[in-house]
Amino acid sequence: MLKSNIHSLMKYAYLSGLVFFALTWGLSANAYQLLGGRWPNQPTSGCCANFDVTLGGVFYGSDQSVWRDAMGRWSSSAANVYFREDPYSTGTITVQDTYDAAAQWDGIVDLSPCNSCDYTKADAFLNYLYTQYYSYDKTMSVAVHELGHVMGLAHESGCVIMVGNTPDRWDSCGLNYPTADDAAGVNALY
Amino acid sequence: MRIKLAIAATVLILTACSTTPRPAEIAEAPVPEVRVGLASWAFNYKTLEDLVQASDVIVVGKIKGDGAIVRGPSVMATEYELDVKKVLKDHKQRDKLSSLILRQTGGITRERIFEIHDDPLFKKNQQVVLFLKEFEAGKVVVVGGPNGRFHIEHGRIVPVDKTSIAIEPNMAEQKFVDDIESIVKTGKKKLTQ
Repeated sequence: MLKSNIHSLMKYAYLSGLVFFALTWGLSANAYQLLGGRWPNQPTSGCCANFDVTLGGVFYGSDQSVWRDAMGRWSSSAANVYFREDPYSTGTITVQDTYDAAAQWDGIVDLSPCNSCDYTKADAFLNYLYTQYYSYDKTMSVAVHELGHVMGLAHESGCVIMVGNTPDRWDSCGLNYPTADDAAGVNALY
Repeated sequence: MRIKLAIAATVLILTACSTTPRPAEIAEAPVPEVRVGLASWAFNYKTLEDLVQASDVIVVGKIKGDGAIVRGPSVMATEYELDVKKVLKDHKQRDKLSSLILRQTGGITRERIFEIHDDPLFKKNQQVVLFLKEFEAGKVVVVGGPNGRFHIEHGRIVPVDKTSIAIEPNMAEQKFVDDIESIVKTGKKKLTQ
């Protein structure tokens, strides 16, 4: 009787160890990365940072709708942040698109004054050179990724929205929304 | 009279002192703002064969000069003169290809330094093996950003993107060139004994 109890106890401990290892290994494989900066005057409580976004002037194709939906993806995620169109069009955060035939990027963010400071301005672009051939969902994968940079997330490996290239992020992982790991990164910032 | 002269001298000295720039003011040259761009790359090649396939031009070369700023449609870019030492692939099969204009997103001006996080700006005299796309006649861009960019340091190949193309560590330049030439000709790497 005692022997069988010890045996089942050991079995339980072994299984618990396995579960713990699997969980911690999974977490470390997808640990969010931060750029080192953040938007000042935003909460640090894990809830409810607000970002007002100015939509740039003229858009190619459906890129403008994509940006709107990408903002919605973050707003409805576990990141607890809220994007909305800037009612005063202050241009503090702008999203737009461009047609840059000499670029190999399909999206880019220019953060001011630097990546690891308190941010004062961000300009995000989609490159219509590529997005014109992308599906709506694939373009959104780029836009959601760029908004992650706008908040202060850096590139990361694995199946997360912050992967630095679209073939891995969309073609392989099928991601166009923030994962739990991406949301955890934002929660760590705001 | 003496008092008047003393007053005049004092006024003159004070005036001179107030208009002479202080050392701190002289030293206050504009400090460029350092900004780092964050790109989502449209391509990511995992093998040397895929990179070769995707490239219009592959060269061994050297960056000549500091480059010239180009105002792109969105963010700034720099055009470097690339001194071509050896052509490994040329989709136009030109008789002579001694130089190319290499464009890269980012640049340095008096006011700001703009550099993509995982694709640092090229440096003068940097020796490179580059996989290129020709977007205009004679003007090229590196395939996949950092993906198609390899530096040569002390005769060894150093990939800029360390996450994509798996090449053996400390690979000799000649071995890398042989592999590329073999892939261009046969579609496969050269067999080593």
